[in-house]
Amino acid sequence: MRFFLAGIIILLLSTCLSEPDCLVTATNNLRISLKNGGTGTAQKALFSSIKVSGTSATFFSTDSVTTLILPVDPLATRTTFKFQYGTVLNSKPVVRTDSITVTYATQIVIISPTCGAAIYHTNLTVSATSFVIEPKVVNSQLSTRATSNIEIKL
Amino acid sequence: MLCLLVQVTFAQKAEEQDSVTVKDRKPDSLKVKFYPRSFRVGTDLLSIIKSQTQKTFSGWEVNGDVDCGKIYFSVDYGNWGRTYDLPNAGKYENHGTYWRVGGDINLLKKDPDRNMFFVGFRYGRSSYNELATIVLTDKYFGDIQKQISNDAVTAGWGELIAGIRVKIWKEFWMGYTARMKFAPSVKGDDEIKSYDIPGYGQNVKGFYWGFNYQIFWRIPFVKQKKSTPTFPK
Repeated sequence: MRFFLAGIIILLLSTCLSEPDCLVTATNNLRISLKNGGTGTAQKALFSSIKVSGTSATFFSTDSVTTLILPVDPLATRTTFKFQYGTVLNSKPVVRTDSITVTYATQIVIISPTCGAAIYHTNLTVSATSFVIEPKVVNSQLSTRATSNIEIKL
Repeated sequence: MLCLLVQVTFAQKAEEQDSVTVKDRKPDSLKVKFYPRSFRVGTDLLSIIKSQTQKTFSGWEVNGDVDCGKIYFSVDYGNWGRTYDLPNAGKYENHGTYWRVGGDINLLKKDPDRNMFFVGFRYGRSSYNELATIVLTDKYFGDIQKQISNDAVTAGWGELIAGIRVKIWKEFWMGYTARMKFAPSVKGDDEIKSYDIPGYGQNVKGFYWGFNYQIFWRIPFVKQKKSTPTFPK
């Protein structure tokens, strides 16, 4: 009986020793993978201008890339991206302007009084696009661990 | 031969009738009868002490149980509020009420004062609201300051408990209760994920432990018969 009671007390006290880690996977970065519309393989493109709704910042790439990491508006439920880009399709250089609007759910989570709060974005969907092939959502949650959220086929 | 067979048969039956099988059965006077003997009302001292000593907590709890022999039926009701400072001058606070109902089994069967070492189960529910001021900094969208609230949140959970109740003096009792809380289910936390549940604690996966130190006053329904010693003549 004494050992049983001692065991309960030790279990109770052990929970007091564990502090929450400030390991936060929340992010407002959207990861876009570029794919060839015909073969499905990675497709490079050079972006001269990317405009994001909610911010005056303009993004661009200095070199051709196959992946884009762009921020979504953290307190909104939708963000629109406008791309000006050049790529090579069927051995022909192409310059295009396209846009995509994504919608998502936003939930604020308090990690701990020490770590503070973080904003999680989930239920990602493509609500509008001008790309010929509809972009595909491969991971609907924005996370630091996600390798890709949306695939755009050029 | 036939007469001998009949005689043997009747002899066997007579032997069966003569032998009496004794079944192991408790007489009625030794069984613990199920009826309400007393009512105990008390409060959790730790909640009162924490309210006075911690800036982050305010609350109180009232406990009641009915002694029905081996089993005790229990009801708790409490009020709970928490306030936390968050980084960058943010703030979190919640306020609400909760209740628990359940039963306990007294494992000390032969104690004349009805002291208890018990195990039991509780079902708990809470109604509360939450308010948070969040301050975050984003590289492209600037400083984000937002005040968000969950105005009507409800939660339910289960508890496995163990503890003791000891008679200190006359009808004054003291005791403690250890709680293993599990399976919190929250509804209404749409704006911000519920962080702290009144009566339960932090809204996290897995078990959450709790501890109460309580004082009680017992109100008997029936007078306990004092056993008078009898001496052989």
